[in-house]
Amino acid sequence: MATVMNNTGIYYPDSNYHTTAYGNRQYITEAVFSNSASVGLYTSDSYANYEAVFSNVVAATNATTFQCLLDFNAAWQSGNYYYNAWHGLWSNNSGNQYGGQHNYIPLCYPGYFLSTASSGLSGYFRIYNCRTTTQVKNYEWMTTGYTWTTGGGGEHEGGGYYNDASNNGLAKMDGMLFYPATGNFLSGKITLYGWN
Amino acid sequence: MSTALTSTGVTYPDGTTQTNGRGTKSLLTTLTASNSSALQYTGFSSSYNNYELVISNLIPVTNGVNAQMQYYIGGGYGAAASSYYAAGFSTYGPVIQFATTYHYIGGSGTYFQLSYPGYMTNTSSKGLSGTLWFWNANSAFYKQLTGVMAGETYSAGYSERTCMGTTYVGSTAVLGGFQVYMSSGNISSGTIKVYGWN
Repeated sequence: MATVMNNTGIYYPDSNYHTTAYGNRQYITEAVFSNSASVGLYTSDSYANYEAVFSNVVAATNATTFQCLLDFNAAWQSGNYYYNAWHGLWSNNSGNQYGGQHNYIPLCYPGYFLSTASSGLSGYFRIYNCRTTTQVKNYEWMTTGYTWTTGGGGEHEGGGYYNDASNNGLAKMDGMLFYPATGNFLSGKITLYGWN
Repeated sequence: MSTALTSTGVTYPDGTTQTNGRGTKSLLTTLTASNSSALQYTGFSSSYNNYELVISNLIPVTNGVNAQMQYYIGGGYGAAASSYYAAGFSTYGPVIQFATTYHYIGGSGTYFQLSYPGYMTNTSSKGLSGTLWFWNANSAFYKQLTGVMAGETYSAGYSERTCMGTTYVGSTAVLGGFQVYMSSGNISSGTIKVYGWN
């Protein structure tokens, strides 16, 4: 059977078919680091949901933190209004759970973003329904890597939302700023996808 | 409105558009266990940089074991001592409160665990399911995986959720695949669907 395109969609040789683009993630852009500063990745009304995929992102400065800010109303919001619940796990069979308000989204345990060139952090950050103007935007993340400062593996996982006294969090979320708390990105890449 | 190919991609009858192939997952294979010693796949290639495994109702032959994984890397299944830096966490429900019912499953070993040791049952109606993601498989970096598994796997009959992140430090060679097996005995049944995407 050949690939067939008709008035209901596309039918593939293996008998699978696509009748809509809903559900399909689509590549939007990619930032490749070479001793690079922060990177802002932007959203549009084309997609409701976004996923940033981290591929072996390495810090230029050892023992910093991989962080994210969100853009509401044309500003990277840096107030203490990110409501985060998260944990960090280590390969020595221990971990820490946290919850509370921060002025950023912690994509790894504080101080555990390393300059080890062979590793870095990999994983994802997802944010949902981010173009609505009536609700806060919920997000979640999961990263892993050679991140334990005393020599081991770590897993970092969490979720939360942003809002403040001015209700900036109800506006469309226009972008994500990824940055190390100190210094630059040594290497790695962040790829942005969108889907509906 | 019909489906249409345009200079910018595909437009579907509902008006949605697909402008590129990146981000779309492609099913590469389905591995099916039937009293199998392991489910193995060595077909990772340069065609895809990221892989997703969807594991469905994996059931051991032997009661009270756990599912484990090794990478296929450098022409063999990586099994060097202390080569998998694994961090994981298992929680249980639905009756007991979180604060008293969790286990860390981290370690540095010759494999890593997909569930808490000894908590899988061979009850045919249960099993372990979840999703694992391999990241940046063609890179010259350590190969990393994140994932979440769940199931009615607690030996006393409770549900279990396990999250994990693993970094393989035995090699920075291109990742070729993986194997999933039980800590003891065979895999009675279950499937693993392997998807690739960029």
